[in-house]
Amino acid sequence: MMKLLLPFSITPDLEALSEKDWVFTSDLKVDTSFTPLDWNSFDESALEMSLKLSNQAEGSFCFYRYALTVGEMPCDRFLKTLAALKFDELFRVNPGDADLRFRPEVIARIIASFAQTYAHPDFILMGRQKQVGDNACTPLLTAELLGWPCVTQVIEIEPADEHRLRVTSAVDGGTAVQTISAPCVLSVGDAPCTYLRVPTLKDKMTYGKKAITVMKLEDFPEAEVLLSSPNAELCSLTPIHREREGVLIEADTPEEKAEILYRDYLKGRLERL
Amino acid sequence: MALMKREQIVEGLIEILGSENVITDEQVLKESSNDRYRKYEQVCEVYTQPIPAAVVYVHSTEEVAQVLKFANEYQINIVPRTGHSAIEGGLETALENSVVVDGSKMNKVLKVDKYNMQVTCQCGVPLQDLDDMLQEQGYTTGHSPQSKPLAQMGGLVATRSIGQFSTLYGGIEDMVVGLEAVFPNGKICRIKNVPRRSVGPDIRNIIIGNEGALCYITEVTVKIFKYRPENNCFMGYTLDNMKTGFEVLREVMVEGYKPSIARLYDPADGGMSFSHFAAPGKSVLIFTAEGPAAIAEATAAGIKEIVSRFTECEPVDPKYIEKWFSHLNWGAEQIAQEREEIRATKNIGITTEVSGCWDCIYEIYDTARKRIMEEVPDITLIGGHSSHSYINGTNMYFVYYYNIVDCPPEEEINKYHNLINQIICEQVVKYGGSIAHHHGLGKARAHYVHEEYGSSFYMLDTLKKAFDPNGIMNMGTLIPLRK
Amino acid sequence: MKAILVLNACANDYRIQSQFLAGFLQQRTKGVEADTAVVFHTQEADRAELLSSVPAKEAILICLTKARTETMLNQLEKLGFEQTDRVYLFAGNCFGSELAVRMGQRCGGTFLTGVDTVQCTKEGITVTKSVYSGHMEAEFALKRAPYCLSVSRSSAEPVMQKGPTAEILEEWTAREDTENDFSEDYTLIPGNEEKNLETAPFLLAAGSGAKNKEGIEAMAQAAEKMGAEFGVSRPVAMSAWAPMSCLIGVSGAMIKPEICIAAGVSGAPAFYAGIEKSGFIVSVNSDPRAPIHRKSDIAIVDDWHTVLKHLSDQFPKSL
Repeated sequence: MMKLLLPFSITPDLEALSEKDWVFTSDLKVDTSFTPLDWNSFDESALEMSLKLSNQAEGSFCFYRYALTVGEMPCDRFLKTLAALKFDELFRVNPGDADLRFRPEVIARIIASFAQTYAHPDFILMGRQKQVGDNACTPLLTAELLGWPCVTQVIEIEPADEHRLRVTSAVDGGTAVQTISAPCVLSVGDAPCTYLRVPTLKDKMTYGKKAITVMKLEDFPEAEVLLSSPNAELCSLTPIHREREGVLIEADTPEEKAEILYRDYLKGRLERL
Repeated sequence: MALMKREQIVEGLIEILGSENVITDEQVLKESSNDRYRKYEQVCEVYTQPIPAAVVYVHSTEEVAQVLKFANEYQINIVPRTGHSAIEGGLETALENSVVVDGSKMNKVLKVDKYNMQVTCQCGVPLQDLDDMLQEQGYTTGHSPQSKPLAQMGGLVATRSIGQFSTLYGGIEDMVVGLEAVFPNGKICRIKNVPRRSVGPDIRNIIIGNEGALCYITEVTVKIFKYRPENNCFMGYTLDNMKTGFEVLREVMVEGYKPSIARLYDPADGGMSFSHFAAPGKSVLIFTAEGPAAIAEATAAGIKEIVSRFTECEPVDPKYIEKWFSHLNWGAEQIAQEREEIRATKNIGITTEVSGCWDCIYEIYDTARKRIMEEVPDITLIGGHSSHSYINGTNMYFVYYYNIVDCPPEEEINKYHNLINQIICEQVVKYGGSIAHHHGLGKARAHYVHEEYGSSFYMLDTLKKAFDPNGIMNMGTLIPLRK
Repeated sequence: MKAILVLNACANDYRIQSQFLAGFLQQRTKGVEADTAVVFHTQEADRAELLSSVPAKEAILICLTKARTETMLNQLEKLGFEQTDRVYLFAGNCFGSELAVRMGQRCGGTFLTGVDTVQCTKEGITVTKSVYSGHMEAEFALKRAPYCLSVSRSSAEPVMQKGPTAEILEEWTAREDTENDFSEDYTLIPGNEEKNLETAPFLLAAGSGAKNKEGIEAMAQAAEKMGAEFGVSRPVAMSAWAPMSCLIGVSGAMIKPEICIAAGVSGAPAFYAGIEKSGFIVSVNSDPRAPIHRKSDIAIVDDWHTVLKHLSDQFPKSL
């Protein structure tokens, strides 16, 4: 049986914020608590890819999945969805008051400790980057902390045999395909067609009630100790505005608008190219 | 049924409207053969309905009259359309060689009468544009359905639309002052704009909600109201039982308060929008009060007092509700994204809205939900909310999602959607509610018209026969086609 | 502060990496001076050419039998970090971001990816980078040297190296140890080199407003007819309506054509960052509220299908 650890994060839908919402408080936080939550899209890909492995293996070997997230109570709804999708064990680490937005080293330490002391996975599959922190560090750090190799920009995985995975990843100048032995961290990039499947109500009722183990940051002393001394300390935040003139072409029909665009704005520019 | 061949119909229409206004592009015709009732077929671009002979753009009431007269003479089925946001099959071209008459180019606001507080516009005026324009001047139509970014005035009146602030402003039937409509024989009728009159039956209501099955609406005048968003008060609560929630709604209405929004979400439906503050398993109650500051404040205070009597209800930070409020509507962007998700996950979400008096609404909600869970395969979510309350009852907006498993697009509607609709309608009829609260009967629910109307079906049937004797107006809508 | 540049000449974008880092040093840093470059290369590489592109006085050349990041990391460790007061700058491609973080962690220093600016003063070193998916810019004070930073690909204009060829400080051939044993049957499938979004002078960028794969194909045809290169937003590529090689935005190509037509895109920051360097931006979107209109020079609120079809018809055939 192949054991997979899937750390994932839940993110506020940043595109739902309007321009005036991009203000921050004295402790340099943007209030996103009023925004609906969603899967981090890279993590969503990782979760779906892990489920696809079972379809591809067609029962010839099986997978054991741990889902782990660091977040508040609203994340439980997402963990319940994973329970209904037959993930085997579900864990949530409550960060309490700690601001972990730009602290990938703390998250990575939690994941690594969880892997070493509890889950002992063969592979760790996770998205490359979070939407809020944009750190793009966590999977790499997790690999370093565990002393494991890391494959980045993973876009496809298939089972090779009971202990190995066939991994496709984007690399500079092309695509790499390789067969990977455990243990390894797989950092998932832009993987097409990996929306997370939706569990049926019956599965939700049958499997969705599985208990979620909630832990605290204090349960991970090696992570907690990092909190007080960040290597990179946030000093300021500035909203980014990228407005241009936005002159509207007005005409009765789309054909006329296209003509105006070509005649008045593109023709000259194209000739100068 | 049409007495002409497809080519002759197109020729005749070109003679009336000019070739630039008669569209016969294959893709346009296909996309005009259905609406969001067949959402999965739309997503898969599979077209099971007869493809219309043409889509025509009309620019004036006279043109509408000429097209209708032509159709009436040659018995061509006409499907009136404006914003194309219908979701109950009202825009399906159910008969061969139908003609879709699109009024979206009749998009002029004719008169903003701020003294008499009414606005007159042509049928193709987008509600969003109208309301944005009014709001800039400090006014509003008070009408804000979720389809606001798509819908246009003619279609809204034709389907007896209702907006999210209906508990204060009422449904469209409470807003329409006067109308102009064209009947199949080409007769143009105008109903004048007056505050009220006692001159026989209110004939506006023959036109409002006719769903294009009696006449073509070309112009509407609706009331306008002062727009004072600065006075809005938001309130939100979580609670454990839907039954309690209905009791709270009833108390608020019975005590005589008029919040603009009074909503109750069950845990499944609420979980999709409110999981960032409501724990799993919690129902959510939402109120907003608006209007002059003194009224908004008094309304909010009164509602708070009523809810406080129900110890089960726990207040939430009103900012959550304010944020939710600013993202209510459903525009082209959301539809594009939804389409993508359906394609990728084969998981689709649909709604059915019904109503019932206070003494039966909970049973309708509870029994329909349980039956759907037991009887429909591959369901991934069934929930609902009440969003429009009255002194004597409220509505229930069922929301359901299912995975489409081993099912070609053309069979989806019967395997899932119609099965769920049937269960909901059966439970509603059993407990004495109405099977359609604000989406219209369309063609999706037309075959329940006899159960819905009972003995009063005689009146609807007589109207149809009197105004549309040749049967050319949106056949299959309101009254089902004979198989 | 002294900077050490880390370049990967095993990849075919070596020249772009070095021009880009040269530009970054000139335009986006204060108080930073590059003195050494570490260049990973393969046996086949032309050493003279490598050295001529290096934007630093001295170079350490490390020859790899396999261009794998695990090996590169072990080699970087061998350089020793005794002179800790250094900035290590990595290009913002896949390899650079990976190495910056892992090396930073190994040497107990500070690491950040996608950095837009670096400032060194007596008080210390600060950097800026975009966060919140491109909605905010954050400034960080870095506390612990060495500082391993990969630079944002949208930050600087590339600069051609004009100075003297770099001197070789050291060179060696790396012996592969067991670090790649976890991987077997490694095959590299080169990407489509003909497609170069980043150097195209005229580009059409398509978003999910295209509605479906056929819509995207229609847009691609219109682009071809106009002689424009064709790219897409992330939702389009994630739905597999177009290959990933067409992707524009933070995780794809960062383009800077003279003219960019953005059709059916909403204008989310992660996408917009990919086109913001364009000389002239035209938006075509039927939704008048789409943010892209405010971020473009000229906006058309209408159906992209008709607009593009008619627009491409206007183009002379020879173009």
